[in-house]
Amino acid sequence: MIKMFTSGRALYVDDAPRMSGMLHAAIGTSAHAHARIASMDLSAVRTAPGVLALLTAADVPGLNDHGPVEADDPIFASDVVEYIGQSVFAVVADSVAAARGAVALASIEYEVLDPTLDIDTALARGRFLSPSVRVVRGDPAGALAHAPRHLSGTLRIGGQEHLYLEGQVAIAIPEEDESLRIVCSTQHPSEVQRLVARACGLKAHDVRVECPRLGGGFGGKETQASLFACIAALGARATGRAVKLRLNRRQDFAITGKRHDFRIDYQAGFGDDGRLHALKIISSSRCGRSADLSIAVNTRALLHFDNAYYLENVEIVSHRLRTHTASNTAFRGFGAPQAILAIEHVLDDVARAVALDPVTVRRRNFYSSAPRDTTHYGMKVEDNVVERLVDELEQSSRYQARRKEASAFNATHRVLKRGVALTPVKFGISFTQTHLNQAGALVNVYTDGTVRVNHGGVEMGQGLHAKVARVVAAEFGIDVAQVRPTPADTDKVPNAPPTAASASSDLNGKAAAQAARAIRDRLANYLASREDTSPAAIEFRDDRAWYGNDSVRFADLVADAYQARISLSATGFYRTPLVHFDPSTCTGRPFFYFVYGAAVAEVTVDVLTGETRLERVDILQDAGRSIDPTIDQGQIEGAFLQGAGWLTSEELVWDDVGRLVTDGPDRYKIPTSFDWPRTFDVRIVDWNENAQDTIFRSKGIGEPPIALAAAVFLAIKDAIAGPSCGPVALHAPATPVEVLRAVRAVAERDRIWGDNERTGAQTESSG
Amino acid sequence: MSLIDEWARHRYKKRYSSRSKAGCMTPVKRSCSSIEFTLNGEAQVVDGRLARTTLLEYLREVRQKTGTKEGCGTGDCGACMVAIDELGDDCSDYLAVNACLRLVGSLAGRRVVTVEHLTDSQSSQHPVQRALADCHAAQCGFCTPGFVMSLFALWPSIGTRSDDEIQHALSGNLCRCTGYRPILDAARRLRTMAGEIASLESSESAPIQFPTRPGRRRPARFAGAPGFVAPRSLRELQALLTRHSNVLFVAGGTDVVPRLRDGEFDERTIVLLGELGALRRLSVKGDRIVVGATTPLSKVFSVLVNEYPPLAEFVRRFASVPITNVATLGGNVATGSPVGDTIPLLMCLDAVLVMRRDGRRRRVSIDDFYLGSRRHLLRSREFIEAIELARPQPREFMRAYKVAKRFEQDTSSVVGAFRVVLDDGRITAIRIAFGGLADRPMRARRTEDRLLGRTWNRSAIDAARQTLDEEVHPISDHRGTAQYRRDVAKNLLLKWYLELTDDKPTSIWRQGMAQ
Repeated sequence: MIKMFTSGRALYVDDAPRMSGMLHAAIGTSAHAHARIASMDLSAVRTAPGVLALLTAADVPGLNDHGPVEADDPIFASDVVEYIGQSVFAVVADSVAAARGAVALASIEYEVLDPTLDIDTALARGRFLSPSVRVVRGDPAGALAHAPRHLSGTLRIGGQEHLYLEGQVAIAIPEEDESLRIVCSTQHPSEVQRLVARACGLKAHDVRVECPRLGGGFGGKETQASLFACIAALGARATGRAVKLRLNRRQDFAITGKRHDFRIDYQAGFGDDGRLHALKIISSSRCGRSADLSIAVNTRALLHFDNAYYLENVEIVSHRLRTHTASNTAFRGFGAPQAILAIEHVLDDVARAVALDPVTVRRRNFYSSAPRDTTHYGMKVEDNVVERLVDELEQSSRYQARRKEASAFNATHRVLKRGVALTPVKFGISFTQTHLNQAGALVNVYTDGTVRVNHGGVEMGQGLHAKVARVVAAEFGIDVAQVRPTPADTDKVPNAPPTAASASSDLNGKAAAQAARAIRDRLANYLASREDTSPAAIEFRDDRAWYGNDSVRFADLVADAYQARISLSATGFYRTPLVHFDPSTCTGRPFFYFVYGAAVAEVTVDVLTGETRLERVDILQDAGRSIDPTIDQGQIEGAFLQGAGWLTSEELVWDDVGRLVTDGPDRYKIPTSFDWPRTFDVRIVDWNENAQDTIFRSKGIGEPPIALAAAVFLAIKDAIAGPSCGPVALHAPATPVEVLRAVRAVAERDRIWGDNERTGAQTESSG
Repeated sequence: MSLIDEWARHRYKKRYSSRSKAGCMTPVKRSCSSIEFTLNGEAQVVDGRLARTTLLEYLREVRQKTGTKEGCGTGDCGACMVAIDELGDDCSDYLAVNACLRLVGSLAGRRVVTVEHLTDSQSSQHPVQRALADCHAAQCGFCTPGFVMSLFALWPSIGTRSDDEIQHALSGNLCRCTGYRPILDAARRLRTMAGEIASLESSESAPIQFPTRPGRRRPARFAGAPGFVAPRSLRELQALLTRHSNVLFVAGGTDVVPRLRDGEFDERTIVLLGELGALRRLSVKGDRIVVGATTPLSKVFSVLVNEYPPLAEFVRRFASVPITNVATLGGNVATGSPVGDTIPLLMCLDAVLVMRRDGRRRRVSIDDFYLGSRRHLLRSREFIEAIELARPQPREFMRAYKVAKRFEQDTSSVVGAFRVVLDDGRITAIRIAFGGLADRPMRARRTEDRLLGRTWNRSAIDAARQTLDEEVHPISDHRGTAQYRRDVAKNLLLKWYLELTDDKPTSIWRQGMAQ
């Protein structure tokens, strides 16, 4: 696999050999965040050179919608536009340049309406996407009133652009008898199939969707790919020719949704020992113009405000706000990282207030034995290893010693300040929409003993195919090289859930194992009857099937079984047991199990410019019994740095009229190799296995480590605070602008840096 | 080492030795209206009408070579990295270049190598590819060919590179999956290997030829096509400018090519300045450094750092390697963005612009060049020929700072450049210049005046910070608020002072390396 990548021979959607007569589509988008379309003159577009078709709302034969949950995402806006970048029409032409050039010739008159662009305005105007949800346990009001110490504040958490290196792209190919083949870059082929059929006025069986591989997804292709597949499909239906739609990067930024930004208002009551008595959280998130997955994202956030801590008296209110910006969507972690950052931020300020080490305060709040083992949504935490993880990490990272070293450094350095922080993560695995926790697989064994496995999951770099291949190889006791995983295809495995929620190895691995086992059982039965032994006595290992001391090569057994007319193909199906959840009351057991991790981050902050550098990271991660530690380590490191980027340099900025200004990698800054810390220790613990019966007792690892990046944010806070004991109002992302603002605020409040010489940097930045 | 054995066994020298490739280049009908270059050892004769096409489009759409990816189209992600023998006839190294920023019309006589060329039909791979594979340095794989090509360009010299230099070489490549750790591991492994190969080479009788030296370039000429001209001499340029009125000068193209592709300059004739040897000179003579306007920044910077060692950090974070490989100082000056990139530095170094029009020269101080945001003194038919800079004087302290959201490859929010000459503790000459604090790069003259003649101490700096506060009128945008820019400008002044008086590190970049 990896050799294909290094040689440049791996084929992504846009790399498919050129089809003769293939046409290219381009999208015309809204120029206003909120406006009524007064008139639309597309005659110049229609007659532009090379243009073969023009598509508007009126040209959609089926339902003009690509919404994944609610039907509130028009493919083409027809009356009102609700964000800058919203699709209004599309052009199909004989070249990319002709299509993009023609789009610019549109003349659309707008009657501009007042837009609601941000969380605060949407809150003030009461623009709720759905009814707010309130979860209460215990007596938060009473406990808050009686708590010895109090803390309140607001934390703003920015969104994040996925910046998958491969942009959105889809190809639609008309096939015989009205059917369509779609090749696109999506995390959810089954949904693309459903939505394309619905838009084209076709049935699901008329549409086949294939996804060769993704050049990155991160949630950005879970629902967002559908629009482009629908437009390509409509173009193919209109012209009878293959149509490709590939966005340029600026359009990709403008059209597609991002990670939800949040405003968290909190009130905490606690004792001098740092133990929380009560916590009230008002969580407000910007959902953008439509529902998309926002309800589910906010539900997952709601279920993660506890992180690893027992919240005895807690009230959480979750507002989901509708704004005139792109519809925010899934992004690795799906709301949980925001919630985890919030509680870690609060505990960090609690520790500062009671002048205790932040890790001590965290320990005092950890989930432990009954009754402190039940979440605010009523699920018992049965597999808790966070305490052991934190103990081990505290030792292995020399956390306490390094805190002291940082203080010593800060006492003698005027410009550079060090900060160290440790944060744990507890992350729930399973889709909170219970029905999605299912998977199918198809295993074919060929007469030479080689195997192809297909499953509902999409390969996007997370190593899913490699893990599933390993599972199948293990079932057959053959070398993994004999098993070839094949790209997602709705013709092979239907009705699959999205490749998301860190659950794809669990789900597809189990389904593939079941399919492989069905064939293996047939082979065992055949061999048992032939060799007069019992099927249970047959063992598959080392590329052979063993019965007593005798054995037969797997390939020979397969060839013989074929001659004996034994079926060598099987499907498998899996549904996650135990899970159930009622989103209306926010109770149940939404998660099959939890994944745990902890990180220590150390940063340097330049208090004259606000610039920061991640110096060192130590991570201890629970991955159950890892199927492939190399893959899992890659997921941990990649997620961590992606999270660090989210909380430091990745800043989404809109202008006053709602245009995304940071609309490409020239302005939106994800980490470079320089930002990977020079010193790091990333380890998967070898002592834990999944308490639940998952595939090989492993755990999902795609998302949980992104929340470990909270340690980076808190380390920056630590550096800014120095010996100060008041709360540090730092918002995410901690860009140089934000850091310098917080440095000034702390300096002005505390005057802690003493004499003029030492204040140098601090106070004078306000002068 | 198995990797080295395999590398030697497959005799990469045969594949990559470009002398043999150049020799077997098939003779083609020579015509000034077609663009001739070499792609992966094969001669290309391209219709001149494709001159305004990017190399990336040519590779993917015309030649169906899809190993080179489009990630952003603006030179910020590196998915389209290729290697080109870039710097002129005397140079024989392949350089990493963004194919999305490269016009086909600027390839005449060049040798281009793409990722496809590093794996042969037997699937044996270049050491760079092997190292990346062995280190599991790909997840989704989309960025991987770009990393391969950046490391390929680094490979001949990787044995002597520091960790920071390796990171710098990769600063034009984004990866969204791995966190970079395995990619950096692969690069370090290559560094070790390169050292071992070098020692192998000295001990073995049959020398291993490095695969990465392009050898002498075969001269090729492309005069131009409609909408694109490539003069070879100043006289030719002069003549062209009298014929074409609506022209767009293109040097490295890093700023204009994405805009060109979006249709911004459809009406203008491109005048490629990159082929003009007369504009690529670089000399240090007497008290002046003379930089030809189209000399690539990487070359300019190496001379500047040699003259002014404290500029190392500024240069390090100025831009990614593939950008500085092609971007030019003249292009930077003529673009004239408010942030200004190098301009504050040039102001600090008393830069004089040598400008030419209709065969006549005039010399203008950089301080007088800008009239406003992206507006300057250049008239129609006029171009910058060279930039003259001051050399360091005795008892001089010079620093330049770039401040941005990200350390590498980011447009700055503020650039500050400072230079002072001290005589017995007294300030006898001073230059302070900023970018990002007004609609154009600026000298902070009132602040300079406040300091000139005073004793170099903290109270003088504090007074100057006060003056600076009154003197600047920063802009506010997505890179920073006006308040932030104001604070940072004043803080940079302090930082400069502390750096020269305090023994403690003041740079997040340098302090780490000291450890």
